[in-house]
Amino acid sequence: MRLKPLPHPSTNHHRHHHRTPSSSRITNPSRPSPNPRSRETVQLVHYSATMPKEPEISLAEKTFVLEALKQNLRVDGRGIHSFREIELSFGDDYGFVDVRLGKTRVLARISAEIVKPRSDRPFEGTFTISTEMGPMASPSFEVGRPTDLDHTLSRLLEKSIRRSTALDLESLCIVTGQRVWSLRADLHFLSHDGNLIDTACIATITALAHFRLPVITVSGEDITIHPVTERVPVPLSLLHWPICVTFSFLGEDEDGEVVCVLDATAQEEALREGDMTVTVNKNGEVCQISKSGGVAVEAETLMKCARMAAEKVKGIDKLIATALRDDEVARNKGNLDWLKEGKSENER
Amino acid sequence: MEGLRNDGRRWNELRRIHCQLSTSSTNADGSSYIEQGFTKVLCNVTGPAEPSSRQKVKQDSATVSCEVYFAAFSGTDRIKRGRNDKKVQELQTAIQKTFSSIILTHLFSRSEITISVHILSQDGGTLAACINAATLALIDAGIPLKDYVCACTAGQSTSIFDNEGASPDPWLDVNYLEESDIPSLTVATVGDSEKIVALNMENKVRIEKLEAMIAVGISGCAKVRAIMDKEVRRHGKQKLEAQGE
Amino acid sequence: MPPPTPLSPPELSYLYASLSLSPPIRLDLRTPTQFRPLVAECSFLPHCNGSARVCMAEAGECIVGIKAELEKDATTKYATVIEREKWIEVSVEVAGGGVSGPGSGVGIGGISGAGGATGRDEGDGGAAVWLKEGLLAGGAGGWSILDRLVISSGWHWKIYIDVLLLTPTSHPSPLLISAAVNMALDSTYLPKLTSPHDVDDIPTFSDDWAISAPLYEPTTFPRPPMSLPVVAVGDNVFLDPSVAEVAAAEAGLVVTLSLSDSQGNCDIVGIRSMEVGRGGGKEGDRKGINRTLLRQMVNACVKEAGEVIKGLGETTHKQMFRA
Repeated sequence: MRLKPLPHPSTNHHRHHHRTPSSSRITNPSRPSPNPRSRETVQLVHYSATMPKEPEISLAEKTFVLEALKQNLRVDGRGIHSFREIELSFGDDYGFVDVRLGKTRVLARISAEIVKPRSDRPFEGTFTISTEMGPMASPSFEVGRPTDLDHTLSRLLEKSIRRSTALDLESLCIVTGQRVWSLRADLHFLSHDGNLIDTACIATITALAHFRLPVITVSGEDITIHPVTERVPVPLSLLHWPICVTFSFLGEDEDGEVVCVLDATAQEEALREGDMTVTVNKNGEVCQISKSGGVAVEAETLMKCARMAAEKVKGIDKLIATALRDDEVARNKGNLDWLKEGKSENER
Repeated sequence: MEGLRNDGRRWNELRRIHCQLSTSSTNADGSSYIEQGFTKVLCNVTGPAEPSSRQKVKQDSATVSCEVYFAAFSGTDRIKRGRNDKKVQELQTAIQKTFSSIILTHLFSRSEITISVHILSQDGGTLAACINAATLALIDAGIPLKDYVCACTAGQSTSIFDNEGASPDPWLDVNYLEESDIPSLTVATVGDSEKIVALNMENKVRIEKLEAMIAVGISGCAKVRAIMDKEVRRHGKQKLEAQGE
Repeated sequence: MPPPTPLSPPELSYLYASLSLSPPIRLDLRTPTQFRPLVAECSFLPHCNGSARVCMAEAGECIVGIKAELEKDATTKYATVIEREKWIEVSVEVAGGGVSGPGSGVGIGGISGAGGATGRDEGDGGAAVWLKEGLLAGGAGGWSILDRLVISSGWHWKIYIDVLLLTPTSHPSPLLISAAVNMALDSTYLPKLTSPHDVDDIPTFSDDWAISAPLYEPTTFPRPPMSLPVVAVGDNVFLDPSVAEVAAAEAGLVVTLSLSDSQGNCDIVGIRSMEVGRGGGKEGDRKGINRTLLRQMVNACVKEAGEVIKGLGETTHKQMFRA
């Protein structure tokens, strides 16, 4: 990603000598300062010391992308309705997944601990999703200063995964009213090239499906957690796998209709006039739809998008299942190898 | 039963809608009040005005910001919601994004248009009522819009199939009891066009049922638009007559 | 939107001069004891036990909703006064017509000991304090509203009074808030108890609102309290001052009264001083109120208040519907 070059302070040149890089001003440049002269100072420092804004798309790029769409072409050669290749790789620990969608990369890690349940829900565990975008994903993100995308993403994940009860919270209960499992999904955004929402959702669901809870035995007041070496840990009880599919509306095709692009890159996202996220599972149940503002679209088109999403999700679901199965086989293969070595029989 | 819902309506009947413009005596530029059944929402609009913080200054267009207040007495239980409440933030973002694309913001650069919504009573269809109230308040404030934005809800009734075994029609304009019982969605259309500017659904629905729900929602929006337009014209006429004297 | 600009020095001095004449001339040509017209309606919120909305042209709009929730008595053996006072909770939320300007601390119209409104999130904490004070004050013969909230042994009603202010200034007129709360209380109904009084279990109530009991019995006294602001300029005393008049005044009080009998006589429940602008004079010019003036101001309130409260009460009873 090209960084926007620092603006040449030609017009403010004569105010150069007032530059005082006081750190307290940098952290909150938008707070109006009492001294009018220092306001200009803040403005200068703001440009150079804080994270630069996203570079604006140039007119030439915009025209190129939109013209290509008119001819049913996308800049990276994909079809209008195709996802980039989804690559899933798992870590050594259970519940650690690295998802790549082209250049977009999201890491998800599930962790669990035992806590006291909420007083109004004594038989349910808890599940929280934490997303924090930092400069690693894109220079325009700042830690601690959530952008609109941040809020949208956490809300969509909340609605898609938590509200649709993908995870059976009652299965996380150990002792009613006293001890339950508290699961936490931490998402790390390593690289942003568009479509963070879909990638984050796939990462979370895959991580949840991959994760294993240690086995617990309860005897009276005591709870014993068996380490993985003693008892094989159990997978979580996932009722269904909701997967988000985001459509971006931009440009026009040859009929003058708005084009619904699937899995937009960062460039396409910057040019889009509207977007809609549909969350479906492989059973054809739509878990949530969110289209807020943006260009007004015909109901027919939205329904076509929803149906397309349902189709795509079947494919993605199969992909995740295959990847999980392959990973399981790979782990067991490793496990059984040492068993073979330990055999005392000689080769005949 | 005979196909009547719990408040005596049929599947395609809207609740009683009452709307008013210029309700506020404060120095808001535009205000409105709407009642959809027992859902009552008040809306004030100020702007275009100087932005409240430097971050909101955009060089080529106006910033639209929205604030939503749930009155503590608006629901069946008394709940005081803070600024960071999830429901509050969701509504704020939905309304702000919807109107950012409807208001002709390129006409007012470096300014801010603020939409403040006060929810006095909740009885289902809160987002829809807020959007409708905001449209009326923006019209009252004289802020140029592309067209009316009218919103309505539709629910997927789970009542037993009728005699032929066909699935029952979706219910238009669900109230609170229905909303907590069945899956529902909110849809907002622009003017007469039947094009959707906002669609929001948070429950699980089978994709085959989705189309019918959206269609019913859109027809509801058209009815809402007719009612809103009638009130706007009546109010405008009244104002002109008062000025003419 | 920035807060409305205060009056300029020439405007203030003009107003001060006009108000200190004898007879005085108010800007809107009211008599010193005349109130501004207001629009009021009540019982329009379906989820509330009582509700009211009062609009005054310049002072803004105030909507009050009263909800009653069942609560178990505190487990301490003695229901102390402090415990019982928690049975009423008042909360005031101030929301301007648009973005609120920076808080002005205890500015014009702020009430002493009541902390200024520093922004809509904190609400006008001051108003909550004196509103509750007025409510808790007992009537003749040791009557207290808290007695009305007892249901059965071990259970009582907890009343939440939520005030929503839609007003252009950061310090709205106490009359506006107080009138709305007064009407809301007058129109509050509590469901009728169907389980016996002395049983300790969770009480049950009738669903029939037609037999519900009003919080303030319509024919008994005292009625809900009402706070009237009053200011003085020179030797003249003015009731229901507008924002401009408060800025020009030299002394101000908020007198809380409650109707004690049907002739319109009132009991004084509380008096608080109100911050006024002193005609734009300097800090050191603060005059204070002498006893004669104090007596004059309070008497003016007491004389007029009876009619005002009675008038509001009649409106409330005409409008009330039993859903």
